[in-house]
Amino acid sequence: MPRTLKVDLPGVPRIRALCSDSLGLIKVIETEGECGAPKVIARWGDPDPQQGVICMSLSRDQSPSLAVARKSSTVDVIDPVNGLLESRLVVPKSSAEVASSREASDAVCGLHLFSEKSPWGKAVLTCTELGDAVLQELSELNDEQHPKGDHILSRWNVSQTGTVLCMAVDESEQFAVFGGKGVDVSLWDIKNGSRIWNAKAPHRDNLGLMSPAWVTAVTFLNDGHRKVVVGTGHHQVRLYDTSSQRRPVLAFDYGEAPVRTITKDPDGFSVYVGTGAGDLACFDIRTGKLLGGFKGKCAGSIRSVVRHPTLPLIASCGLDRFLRIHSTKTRQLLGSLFLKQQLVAVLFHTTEEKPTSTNTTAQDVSTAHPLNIEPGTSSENGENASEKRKSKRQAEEDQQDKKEKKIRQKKKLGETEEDITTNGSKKTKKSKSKAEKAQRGDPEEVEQHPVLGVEKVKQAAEENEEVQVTNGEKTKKKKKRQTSEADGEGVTEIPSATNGEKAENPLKKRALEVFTSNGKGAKDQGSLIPVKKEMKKSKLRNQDTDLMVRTR
Amino acid sequence: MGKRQREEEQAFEQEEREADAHAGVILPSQIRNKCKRSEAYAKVKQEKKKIKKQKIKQRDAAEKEALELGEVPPPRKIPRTIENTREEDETLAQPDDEELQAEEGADEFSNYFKHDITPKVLLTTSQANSVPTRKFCQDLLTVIPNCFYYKRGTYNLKQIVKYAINREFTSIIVINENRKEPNGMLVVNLPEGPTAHFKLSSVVLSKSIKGHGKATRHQPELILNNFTTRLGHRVGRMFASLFPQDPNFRGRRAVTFHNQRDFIFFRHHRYIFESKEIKEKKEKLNKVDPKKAKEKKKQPKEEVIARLQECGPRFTLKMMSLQHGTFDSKYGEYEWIHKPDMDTSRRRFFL
Repeated sequence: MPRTLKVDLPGVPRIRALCSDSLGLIKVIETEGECGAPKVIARWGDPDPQQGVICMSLSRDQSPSLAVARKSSTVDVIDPVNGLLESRLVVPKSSAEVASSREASDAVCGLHLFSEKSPWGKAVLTCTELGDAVLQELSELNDEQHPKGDHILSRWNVSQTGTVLCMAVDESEQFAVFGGKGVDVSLWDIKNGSRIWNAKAPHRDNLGLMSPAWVTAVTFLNDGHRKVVVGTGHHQVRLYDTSSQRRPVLAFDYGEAPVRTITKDPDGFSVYVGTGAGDLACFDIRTGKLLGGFKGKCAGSIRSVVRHPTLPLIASCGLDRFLRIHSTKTRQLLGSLFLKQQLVAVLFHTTEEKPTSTNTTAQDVSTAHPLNIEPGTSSENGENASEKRKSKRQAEEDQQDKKEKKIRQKKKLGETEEDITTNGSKKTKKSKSKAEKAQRGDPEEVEQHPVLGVEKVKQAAEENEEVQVTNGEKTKKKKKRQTSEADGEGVTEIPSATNGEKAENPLKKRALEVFTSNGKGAKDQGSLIPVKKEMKKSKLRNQDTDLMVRTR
Repeated sequence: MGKRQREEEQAFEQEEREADAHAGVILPSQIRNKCKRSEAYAKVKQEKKKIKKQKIKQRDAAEKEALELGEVPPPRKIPRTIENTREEDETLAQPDDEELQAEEGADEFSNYFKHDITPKVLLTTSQANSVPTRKFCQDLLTVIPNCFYYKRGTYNLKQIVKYAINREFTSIIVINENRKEPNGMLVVNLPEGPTAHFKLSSVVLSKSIKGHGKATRHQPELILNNFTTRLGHRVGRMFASLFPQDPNFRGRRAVTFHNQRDFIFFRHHRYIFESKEIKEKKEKLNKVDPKKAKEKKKQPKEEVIARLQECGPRFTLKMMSLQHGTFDSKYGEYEWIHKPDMDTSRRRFFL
């Protein structure tokens, strides 16, 4: 007897998703019960190809509203609970001269609906393919459902050439990033419409060729407006750190089809990448490693991926007319739904009170391992932190370069470090001293001892402290260090702090490995310690990193 | 044969019989000797055949009886095939679907179906091409009206697409070849796409079809079979848009795209309606009344039957991808692309 029935999918937990398509319809998808197949429970709008949806945006309020940009250059703001039109505005057209001289059209390519808490209240930021970014205030509807007038708060041009294809707004809703074909990534301050930062083309490749700018997807990471992840038409995913440099910090290829969509995960480091050939995968953006692909017979280009704010789910939709819901943990297909049209965008609508995603990550971390961060490391503020990061990076680069020398040095200096028993405490010392270095504002000193590597530097620094400085603060710190060594809890907690710091900070791969393993090491330490004790102290340093990678 | 030997043999046989009774029947596949095995197998097969024949006889008899008694004969069983045990597919297009109609009213082919444009097709080959491919193109030229063959030269496809759009072509067909055999077909709908890539196999040129006819210049009728899913609809519409919409029924030419298990079979026929006498077997039996027979012969019963003549070519297509927009294999976006994890069931079809 042949198998004639489909294998049932595991089912999706209770969710509510909104999916819009090329006919301008918005479909509300819900699952029945605690776990079931998703179903369309409502359809808003009438099928009209002129009203096709281009993008959607959900405001970050507690009771959010939904903005929908249509082909007809209108933006409808809808109540996502019942689909009633709240207000509507028309995106102003660019002047005919501009439009005629370029290939790009007046179509909207990016949309963001601001929450009420944002500096400009309820407003909508749109961007057209011509690069005309407009911040408009929402107005009440008059009788005939026409807007009373456009209340343009600010308007600026992102690019004089090329076609803008994507836009993203950061968590604080003060900065926007744009990119497109022939338009490299640029970060703008929405308030005064000024460009803060723009990317530089990456270096020539091994053939000496430059790839022209072609940004197809962009998103901020959960780190203010500093980290921007970008997908290109040349099937590349790039990470930009706007606070450090103009060239990508990290770039890697995925597949052979252009990247169509990129979505961040609230954990702050994984991103979901969807391509034009229907491949969907999850990457660790710190290292550029593929965490895994999402299967489920995705046949067509993926136009939109969203992560559920609380549950470990992602929804994807695209040209193959299916909405698919995957688990982010198992990367298994939980449910799929055929929605008849080519789908454009999908959003999760959660009515529950949810903290903003930056908060969630912070909370997650804190619930996982309650933090008692030392004053030195914890009191980071803005620039100071970035400085620290820089100095750390330098130090770590040095560490890589001078590895051999370091080892030699270790053998000599090993004696002094023997006092520090556990792995965790070493790390704390390291991070603390680094922080101290940075606070004192002498990264040169770190550079002065490149040979020593980070740990040596830290040591040296501490020795310096003892010799040179005899003021109260330093001794206090030292005492603290000792106390942290003394009680086991302090030891385990601190690595997680360094890990948190690291998560924000995309560094060289090796450095990251050390840190990520360190973070995990907090749990495994019990197993780590006995192994270490057996080893000779000189060897210990050598194998430190390797061992952690292994245990990971 | 000694007594002892005989006894041994008997004992052995008895043992065997006992074993038989114990374990049921020995299957032919359990016999190690090949000769014996094939013999045993032949026997099994024969028996099966017998049973089958008996069953058919019984069924026929039951039917006859029912008919004689004026009853409704029992319904015949439908054999199980791969197609009718196809996996349940939610993408099947419902003709009364409002959304489907709205979308098809506005898609890339809607202009064609509204009679706004007449198809004009550019036919070309891959850059390296050989005689068989060109001959195949020649055959295709006889099939598709308003179709123009262009030498490929060294132009790349994107250039050709631009060229064709400027000359108001509505589609481009590119025949790809491998080892001097046509093996791929690319159909680009202009000016906005989509682009479909098919694997081309089992090509039989008109000339090598026995008793083939020569196609006339009349505009053919088009038969699209079994394009049932949403994707199938789209592909079917794409094929439709290669041919003019007003067939010349005088020409009695029919072009068929028949989809079966995601393979699209292309056939090209000429048909004719002929009146034919019906042979009645019972006349011979009624030799008793020669007069009646003569009367009947004077007025032979006539029946109109359709006869087919194949014109060719014949080929089979299998869709590999459907790409959004005109040809851009590197940076294009796919609406549907075949992936290995789709092949996990033989009973899953997409068209």
